Amino acid sequence: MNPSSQELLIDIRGLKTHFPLDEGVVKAVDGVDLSIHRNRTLCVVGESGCGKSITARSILQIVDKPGRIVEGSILYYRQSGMGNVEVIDLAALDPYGAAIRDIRGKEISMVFQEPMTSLSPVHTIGRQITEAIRLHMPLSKREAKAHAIEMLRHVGIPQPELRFDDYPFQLSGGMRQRAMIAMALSCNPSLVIADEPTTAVDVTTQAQILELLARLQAEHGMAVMLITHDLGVVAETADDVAVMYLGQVVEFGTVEQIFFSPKHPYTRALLKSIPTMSRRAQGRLDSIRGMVPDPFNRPQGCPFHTRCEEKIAGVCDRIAPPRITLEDGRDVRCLLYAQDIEMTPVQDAA
Amino acid sequence: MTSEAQIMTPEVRPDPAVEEEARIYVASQWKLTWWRFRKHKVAMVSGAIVIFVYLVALFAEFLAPFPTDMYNSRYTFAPPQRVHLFLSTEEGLKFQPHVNGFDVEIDPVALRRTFVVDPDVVYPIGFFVEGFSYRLLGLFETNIHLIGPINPADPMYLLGADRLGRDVFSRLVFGTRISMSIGLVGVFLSFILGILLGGVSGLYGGMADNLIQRLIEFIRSVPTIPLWLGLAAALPMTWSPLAVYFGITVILSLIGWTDLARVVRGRFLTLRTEDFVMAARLDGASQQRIIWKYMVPSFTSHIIASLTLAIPGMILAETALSFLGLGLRPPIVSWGVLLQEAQNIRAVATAPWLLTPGIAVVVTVLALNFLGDGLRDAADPYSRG
Amino acid sequence: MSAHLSEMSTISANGAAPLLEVNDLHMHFPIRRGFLRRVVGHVRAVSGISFSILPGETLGLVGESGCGKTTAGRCILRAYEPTSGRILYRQPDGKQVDLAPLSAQELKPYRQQIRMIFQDPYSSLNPRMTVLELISEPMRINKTVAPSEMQDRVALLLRKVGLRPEYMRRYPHAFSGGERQRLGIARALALDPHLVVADEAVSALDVSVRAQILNLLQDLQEEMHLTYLFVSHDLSVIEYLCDRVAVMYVGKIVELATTDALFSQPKHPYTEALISAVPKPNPLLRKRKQRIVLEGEVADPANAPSGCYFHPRCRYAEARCTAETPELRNVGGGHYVACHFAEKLTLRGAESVALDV
Repeated sequence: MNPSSQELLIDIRGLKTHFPLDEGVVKAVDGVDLSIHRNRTLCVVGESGCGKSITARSILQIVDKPGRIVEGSILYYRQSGMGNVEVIDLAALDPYGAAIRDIRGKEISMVFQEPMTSLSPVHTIGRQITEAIRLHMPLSKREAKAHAIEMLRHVGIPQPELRFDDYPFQLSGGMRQRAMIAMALSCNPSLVIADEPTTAVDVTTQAQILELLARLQAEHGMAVMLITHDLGVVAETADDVAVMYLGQVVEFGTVEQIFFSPKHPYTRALLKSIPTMSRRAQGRLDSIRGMVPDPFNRPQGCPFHTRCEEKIAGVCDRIAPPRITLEDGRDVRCLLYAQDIEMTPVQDAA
Repeated sequence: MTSEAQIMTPEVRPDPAVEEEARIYVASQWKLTWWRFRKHKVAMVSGAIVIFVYLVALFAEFLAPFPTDMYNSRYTFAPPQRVHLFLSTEEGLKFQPHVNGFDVEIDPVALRRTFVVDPDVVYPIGFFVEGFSYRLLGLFETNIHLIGPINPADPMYLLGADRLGRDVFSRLVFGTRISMSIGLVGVFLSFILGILLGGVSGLYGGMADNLIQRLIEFIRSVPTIPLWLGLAAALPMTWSPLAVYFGITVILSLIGWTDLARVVRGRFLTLRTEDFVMAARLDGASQQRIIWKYMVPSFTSHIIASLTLAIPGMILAETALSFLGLGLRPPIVSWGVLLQEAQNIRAVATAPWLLTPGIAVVVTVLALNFLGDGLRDAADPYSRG
Repeated sequence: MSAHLSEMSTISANGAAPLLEVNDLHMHFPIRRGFLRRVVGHVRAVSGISFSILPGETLGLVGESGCGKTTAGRCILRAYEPTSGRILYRQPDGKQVDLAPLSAQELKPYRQQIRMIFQDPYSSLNPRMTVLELISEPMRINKTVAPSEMQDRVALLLRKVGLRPEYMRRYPHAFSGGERQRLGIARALALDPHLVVADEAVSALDVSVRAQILNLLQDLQEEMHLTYLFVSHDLSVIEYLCDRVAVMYVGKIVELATTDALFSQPKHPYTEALISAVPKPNPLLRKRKQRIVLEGEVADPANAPSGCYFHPRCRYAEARCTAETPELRNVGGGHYVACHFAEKLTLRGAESVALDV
């Protein structure tokens, strides 16, 4: 996590994406800070409802209604030839404007969990990929088709010339996911966001897809933002890890830092709750007590204090922890690592 | 809740937000459906209109000042009268609701009768006046009417008169009863057919399902209007009006059940594979118990929504048949029968008030459709997301 | 087939007599086409599996989607009528009964002793019943508890699964996924069962909640002397929870062994690939390990390949594998494998993934 040695690609600061509903405001993303570097894989990990998907969708401005970005910035360091870097705040762009559409699908593309619902069922996969290519690249129809077939071959789809004319339902789950990845990579993006790309597929297919993503990253030199709930997937693919809980990044560091010396109590508890053979010998798993609070009734202070084993009574339930950067360069949102908390009663970390 | 409150651990504070939540947690399916329906403003208004229309149908005798067959040749095609609230007398203005009489003038050129309001002829009207006697809701005999002339023999045409000098308002009110009930009875009959055949189809599947589905497809492939016409024309002319009324509802429901059967079948098919139905089966529950305790409650709200959406079709069908002269016949009064009488250029040109039943049809059908839409949206309060 | 079956029973009988013995179970679903709905083929979801479960143990049934593990579980519960085969259940008095041919009426007493925990905590609870109705329903149907004692009994069950009895008037929509799964467990336990078939019981849950439910299942097993058949696709959960594991591939068991043996010394190439495919939660392992990535897709159970079903994807396959179907056989120490070369191959097992946190 030495910032000087890495090129920043996306820098998210204080991002808040809220959903005003009849029952109240759901603060799906409530002050997320994280950064994505070129050529690196960032895994965002957390339980359902922690806001990991909404964070990813906020980057592309494709948050479902009525959700919208209410605060914060998503700085995109765009390379504009000759080594110049242009900084664009994606959060400030109009979700329906030309500027974001130019980036979406071309420079930043997305792979979804269930390709069956994100690919159109009435068009052949070849046609869908060709269209995506022609939207962003000045290619003729024939060139685009050749490029699409090349991409399909590249992601390991056998006989791509034949599969080009297949409809999504004619492919197996793993092949569909490959087609989706081919589409995402067809314009040579600088960032691919993969939202639970292997959750809907079997473990042997998951191994294939993860292998493919790793190979493609090495070849294309793009950054990957992988959203997952599976710590095994994180350990095998990530360079950097962001652990999310209730709309915030509670810990952000390199994969070694997160797995070998986790600092936030939530990260620690998550790692301890993975079932393994060696844990079986101990008799019981360490689980996190209680459950994720209701999105309408977020706890005051630290969002994790209701389940935390190490909470400081009278402090954690009162003060929202700010982002604290430790000596080894990682970020933690936990008052255990704050100095002089009593003297600076921060009400709002943002 | 009181006994539960005592067991509550002290750390649980009676927070109003928590109380509100608890209210949702113990809310049954119908409560949740109602809460969801309440948010649908158009459906709420439509629901009120539908209730109003049915109340009109129920209390038609009380609301109508005159019986449907009372005619007065002096007032053929009389226009609607204006209701005046105050009467000017020697002592000044006096509160006395009334309508004015007409002078009939005959145009010497066109030989057309025209009605000119005569302000000197005053027919006092009032609320809760005596008129023709009837049995309210079929229970007790009375002759009180909501509104009418204080002297029952006085003319009062709030919505004008038809070609025999009958009161259009009274006939519209009575027509509401027939038109709305034909919708209900027809839907009820098609409901029975639909539940029965759709249930068999969805529950047992196999050959029975195959046959019933093909039958449905056949019925739906026959063009409806000629089919109605053929069936309606087959009703013997000698039948009493009541028998004709019943015959028409049967015809409408014989065609109308197919939609409902499909809904029921689809629900049964999806429910058959639901985990909670399998759980009940593994509990050892009998087939009867599974159907009545698990499956039927899961789709009653959908059925109610479908029924509500089926009623307007019935009303329109009756109106269309009667309008074409093949449905109900006078002396039965329905909206379709009333519209049939307005079926000429003269009515539109000189007596447009004869078209008021058309407005009633449009308003009622729209209200029922909006209500049905609202119900359908609220029908499944458990849909996730 | 019968030769090794009898052998199998004797081996499992060397401690206690097995609670359940499944012999050559087949479940074929007909594929119907056309107006007359003629049968044009069969999906052989389960094609001849045999195993036994000892009282008090947890047997894992693991495999990828479509391998027939769920169908096998449902056959044992008799949610399906098996095409052929025997499901021998040992009653508390020691008598064995074959559940496979029984009618719905005859099954009723066994439905109380063999219960199921469902995967989806949302769809498996009738949303129109309160917690009290839901949990008391099996007891009301089977008349095991007097109506006057029902509330106390439900309160007891709720406490047992870690829920507050005050909530028994609430509807399922008031509960989170983990709590709903607890309700499902309470329902399964309401009839004091002996055997519980848990079909992907923790697959829909988040990591932290999953750990709670796994702990609960273990506690209940000890407390109520339960025997589990744990059906799952998640190898890490299987590895953690089960005493013995059966691996299924396209409707057949390819390997059955104690958890230790299966994970440390797998003898079937499919098991090896499966173990290798599971992402390990330790970043150090990825640097040194070579993942085996299987080529191609799982075979279609309606149109399975000849010989060993796994041969098109197997990296050790030889000519014999395409022609001859390997039988599930004992290769020593209760380790059963369906592979011609089980003794010759040296396969890689799971590496230690212990993290010091």
